[in-house]
Amino acid sequence: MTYKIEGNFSQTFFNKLSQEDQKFLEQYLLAGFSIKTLERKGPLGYAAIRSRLDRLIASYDALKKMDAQKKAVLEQLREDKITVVEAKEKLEKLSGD
Amino acid sequence: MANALNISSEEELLQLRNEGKISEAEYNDLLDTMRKSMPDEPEEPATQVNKAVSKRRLGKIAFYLMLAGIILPGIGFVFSSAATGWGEMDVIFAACFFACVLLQLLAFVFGVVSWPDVFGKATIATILALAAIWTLYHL
Repeated sequence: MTYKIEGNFSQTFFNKLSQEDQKFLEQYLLAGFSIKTLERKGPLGYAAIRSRLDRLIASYDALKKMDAQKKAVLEQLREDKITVVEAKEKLEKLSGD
Repeated sequence: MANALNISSEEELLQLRNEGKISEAEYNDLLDTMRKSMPDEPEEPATQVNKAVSKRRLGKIAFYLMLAGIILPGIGFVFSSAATGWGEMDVIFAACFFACVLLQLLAFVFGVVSWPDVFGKATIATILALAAIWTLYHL
């Protein structure tokens, strides 16, 4: 049976990570957040795991920073300092469009 | 408990719509724009994985060279000395020793290049141990 659910749902930062990063995060969790255990279970060496972890941290950090910028724009919209059109333009500029 | 500090931008947008600051259409429009806005990706993991894989490969080469440097000269020495008799022992021993040192040096170089791969570390540790034993034996 298939259900259709309609509504407004917000995504967490974890949902916004790439599929590859999400998969790595899951493997890291299942390894008890131990690089040594992950190294034993998989084909990657310590250096590769460490660099992927660094990349994951960088991605998450970048997502958080961008979210803070988006919130700042929305805050301006809330305080009627900018219009919806201006807010949209500012949000587009954040993505580099 | 959610507050202004820990809610995400999407939740903030939802609040604006719920408070009537923006319409449903504007909400959807801004949400689409926000979901398109993603930060630049850091260095591709594939590149990093490739680096690690090549280090692992070099580490394995170093390890096998080190093993070959121990086993092959040993086998060569036994078979050669048996075939040629004990008269030429010194020459055979020197040749096998030279082959062993050459392979160990090569393995050491590969071990250093592949650092910090575990095979590279094991290779360097073994070669250093062998060198230490050899030095202590001849002192």
